[in-house]
Amino acid sequence: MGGARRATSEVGQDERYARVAVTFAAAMERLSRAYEADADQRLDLLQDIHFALWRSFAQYDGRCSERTWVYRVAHNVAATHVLRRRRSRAQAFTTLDEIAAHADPAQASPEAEVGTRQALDRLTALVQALAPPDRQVVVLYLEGLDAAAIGEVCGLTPGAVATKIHRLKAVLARRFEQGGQDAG
Amino acid sequence: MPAEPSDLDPQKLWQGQATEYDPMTLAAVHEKARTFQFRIRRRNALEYIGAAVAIIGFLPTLLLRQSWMMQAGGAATIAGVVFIVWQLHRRASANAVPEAGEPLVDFYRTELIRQRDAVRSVGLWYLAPCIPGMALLLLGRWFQVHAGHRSVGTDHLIIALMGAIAVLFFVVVWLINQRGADRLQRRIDEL
Repeated sequence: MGGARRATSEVGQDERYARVAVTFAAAMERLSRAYEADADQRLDLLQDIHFALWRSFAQYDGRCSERTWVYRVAHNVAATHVLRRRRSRAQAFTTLDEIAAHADPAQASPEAEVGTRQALDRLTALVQALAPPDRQVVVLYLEGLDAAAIGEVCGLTPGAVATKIHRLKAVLARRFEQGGQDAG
Repeated sequence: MPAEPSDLDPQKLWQGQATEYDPMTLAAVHEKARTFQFRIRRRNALEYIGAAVAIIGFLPTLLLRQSWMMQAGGAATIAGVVFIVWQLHRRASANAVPEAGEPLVDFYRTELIRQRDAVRSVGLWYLAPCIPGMALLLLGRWFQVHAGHRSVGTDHLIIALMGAIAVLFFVVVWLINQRGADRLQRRIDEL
């Protein structure tokens, strides 16, 4: 009987994962790009995220929305990946405050002359340089989540999220000559 | 052709990235689950094999009737190795679980604190268990068992040198880990 319940539970886990894997496939790939620059390592990270999502649905109890759960699990896996990788190679992270406080001399060329690909590379590099907590807020903002949803995923108050997004927008506006849509 | 500034809305830019991979299939996930279980079993097996090799390596000292110090040192070293393996196993099992669905700020802090504590206390759970055994083995060699083909003076010099190298190794490992713990503490403070 216990075996039958486990089998039923595993079917539910499989079905939920299969649905989420399709719905969030692109978002998860972008997330892995935000956390890993190396292509081979990125694929490993993406697979780890999918595997963790599948495992996580064995204990998903509806305490938060499925989207919040997916982002929490995915970002936690990615943060673990960053911590593990950081032990094996010297890599300095920065915070949004530090980026906002210092002009980047490498960004002096007019954005109008920069192609979309280069702009995306620049945006990705900026995201990858951030410490995981700031990086999570930035990625979720870029994914189009509002401040309340970002706060729920990250465990931050909407006010703290709004402050970070405000700083981020200032940085992005300086680098891209315009901000994105309001998150809050 | 270069993009116009109006095209460079960061959110649109980010979400408009082309995807390279298909989502993992259920079959691939199940295969990864099997691989994961295999890796856990292999890691455990390697730890136990390492411990077994160390224990077998020190077993002969237990039979050295002419030196109770070296016998006690061998027994203490074996006990130390067992303790370290148990600690490694316990600490690996206590790893924060990324798929528990916690908010990142809690998960990240927990993980950093866990790492800091493990690194900070490396002297207690990784170095200290080796010290009594090492000390007794060296003392046994110094007072009770001399190499027959060397003078006592030369033998003592070699034992002292080995002791100094062991102490230096312990101090360097401890210092490196304390610096690592300080770095982790700074990152915790930044949160």
